[in-house]
Amino acid sequence: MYHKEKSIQIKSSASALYNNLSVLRIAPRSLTYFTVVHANMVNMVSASWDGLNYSHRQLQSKEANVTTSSSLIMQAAWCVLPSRDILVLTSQKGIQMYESDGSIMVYWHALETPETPTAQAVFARGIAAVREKYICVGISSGSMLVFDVPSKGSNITLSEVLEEHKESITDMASECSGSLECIADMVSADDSGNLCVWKSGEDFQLLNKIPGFDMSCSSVKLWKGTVVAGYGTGQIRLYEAVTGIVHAEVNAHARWIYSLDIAPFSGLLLSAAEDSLVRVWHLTMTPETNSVEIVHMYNECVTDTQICGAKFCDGDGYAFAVTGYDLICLQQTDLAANSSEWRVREENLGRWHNGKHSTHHANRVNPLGGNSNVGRSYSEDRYTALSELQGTSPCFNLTLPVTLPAVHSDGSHPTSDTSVAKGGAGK
Amino acid sequence: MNDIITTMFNKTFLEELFKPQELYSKKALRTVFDRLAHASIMRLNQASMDKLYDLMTMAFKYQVLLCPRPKDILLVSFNHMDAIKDFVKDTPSILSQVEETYRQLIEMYTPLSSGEFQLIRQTLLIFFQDMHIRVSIFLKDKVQNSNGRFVLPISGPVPHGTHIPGLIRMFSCNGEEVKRLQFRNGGNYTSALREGSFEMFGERVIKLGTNMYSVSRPVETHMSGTSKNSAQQKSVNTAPNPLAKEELNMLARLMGGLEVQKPGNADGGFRVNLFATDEEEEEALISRPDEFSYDVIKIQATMNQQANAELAKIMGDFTEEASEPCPSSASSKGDDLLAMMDGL
Repeated sequence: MYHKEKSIQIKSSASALYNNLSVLRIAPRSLTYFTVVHANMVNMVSASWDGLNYSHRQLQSKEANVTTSSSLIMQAAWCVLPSRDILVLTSQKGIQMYESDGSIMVYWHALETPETPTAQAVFARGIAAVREKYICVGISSGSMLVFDVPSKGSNITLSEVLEEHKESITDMASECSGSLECIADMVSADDSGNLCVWKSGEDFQLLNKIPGFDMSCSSVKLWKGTVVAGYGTGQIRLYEAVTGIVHAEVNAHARWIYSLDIAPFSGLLLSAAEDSLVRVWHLTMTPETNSVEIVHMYNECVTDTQICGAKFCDGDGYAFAVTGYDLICLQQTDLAANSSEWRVREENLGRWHNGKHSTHHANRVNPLGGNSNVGRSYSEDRYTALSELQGTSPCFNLTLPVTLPAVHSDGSHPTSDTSVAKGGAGK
Repeated sequence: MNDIITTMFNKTFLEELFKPQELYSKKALRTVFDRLAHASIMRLNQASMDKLYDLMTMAFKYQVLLCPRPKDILLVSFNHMDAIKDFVKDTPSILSQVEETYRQLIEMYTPLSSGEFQLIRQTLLIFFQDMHIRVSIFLKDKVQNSNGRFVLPISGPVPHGTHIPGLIRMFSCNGEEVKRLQFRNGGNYTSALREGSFEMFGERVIKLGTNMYSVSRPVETHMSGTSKNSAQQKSVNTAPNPLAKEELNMLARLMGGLEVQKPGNADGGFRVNLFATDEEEEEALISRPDEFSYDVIKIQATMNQQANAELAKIMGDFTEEASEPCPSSASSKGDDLLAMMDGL
């Protein structure tokens, strides 16, 4: 189904931190950015889609009054807002925000750190962009900082501090389906496994609190009103965000889960853990019965590696990238040209959006079948090409000669492409 | 052996260790290690010390990396402690220090949550990042690959509290299970073992942190890039030893061929050839509790003034205690640590 494609070198190895990979697709420039944290530095790689150009940048953690800091970075992630993308770094000393290519720091927020070290660590961790203008960041005390971000410039302000969690924040996520109908905008998770569900606004409103079972929730996602949470026990749980109803429980991994990701347009879920395994799942929603189903699609083992970051490279889940502790590269895996194992249940997206189009989205074809018009904010070029190739098969069987991600915007395929699965004759 | 353990468990040293503090820099840790190693009459040249240190760090990295649950690093520490206790069980003064340390470990660490332990573990892993020194006993046992990376098996028991992967359960709004699916987990897992004991006494269950050398095997030492003269290797002089005695032997080999008479320990005839028995030397140092270097959560991975200051302070503490006449000849080095040792 998927086919391990290539390794992208990074300047230094990945540290063992939750959610230690962030991906930003820049369709207009045919580039993808990746960030991986190594101790007090962030490695940024910019990879062109044709696989021919890579450039690197390293960002350091910052400390007030010190030129070079050794304060450890806990997480780095892009926050995608309508008018700009901000790269956020959270460390032991504070929160740094950069323009998306890491070139300019636009904001610095210092954490209050005690004079002499205390038993309780101090750090920031957990990053989410919420709705049009907020960036939320979690703190080791359990507090969450809400920043108001203007459409350009550095006049970022701290809008609110949310004090609901009592344990260190581990991860945060905003509703990623793009739908404006979802009530819940954000979910936050902490070290005791408690989840808080929020509605954004001038004052963020707590909609629900889902209790943990004393087991850290290290990674969390919110998609179409469903919370997907990964735990230290290796379990994944799906909850309905506003009610806390458990939809599903998966004994997914044999070790601590470090990363979850959802491809919002297809409902694919990616999970990765210290057990060396990356697994792909598929979520389907049935709004009429208010049920959510999850099926397993695929496994990939990254031999002898405790995986600490795994993300889809695009909104459909055609490719994903993985990194692990001590690994000095990212491994990218693309959907194989001839994957007969792929069987996706169709029309889930169609049902959801049937008759309820969000103004966010333009009309586009859903490559996973169904007749919905689901919006995408990037990748227009690829989808155009795909729809030409797709034909009329009702169930999207990915044996199509698909070349990913190196499809040019006019739909043509590059003549020589050594970096991605070749179509037609297969690899 | 008593010298080293007494130094390690010195009251002031421990007080310092148990304070919340940043992760030691590599240089700072190496200095502490050197001082500890030289706290006895054992003398190592630079190359030997380097090897010893490398082996110690790789073995410790192995233990931290392979812990099934983050909380298990405490069980690994207890394995270390159990072995140490066995070394000094006939020396009440040191034994009481060791027991006091157990109490402190239990008091400080057992209340921590799984997430906090994972943070400790992640911090320790930063220290070990990018270390891929090959250790011959690990290579031989196939726990390390020839590229220096440890083997992470996708088989065996799952950690305590984890289910074997493979089951999906789906529920209705009422909480009733409506569907079950199985998937292939890609590995070969078995059920979790029972949980080890976090008390002063008890079966720890986990094997990490126990003596790697309890199965005697011909030891050929070679660090990457160096070749050893295996003719000088001596097989471990052991009866069917409990783990502790094995470690005692290893440490004795560090001491440059000296025979150490230990009351109550019938083992004699220690031999040392540092180069032939590097791994065994390491064992003694491996038995040093990991918790002692790193305290809860506060982390700072690089060498800086603060780490230096702390180290200086620790060393300074040792000096202050050098007030009593030394019972043993010890060295004439005037080492701070040694002077303090002599006072014990």
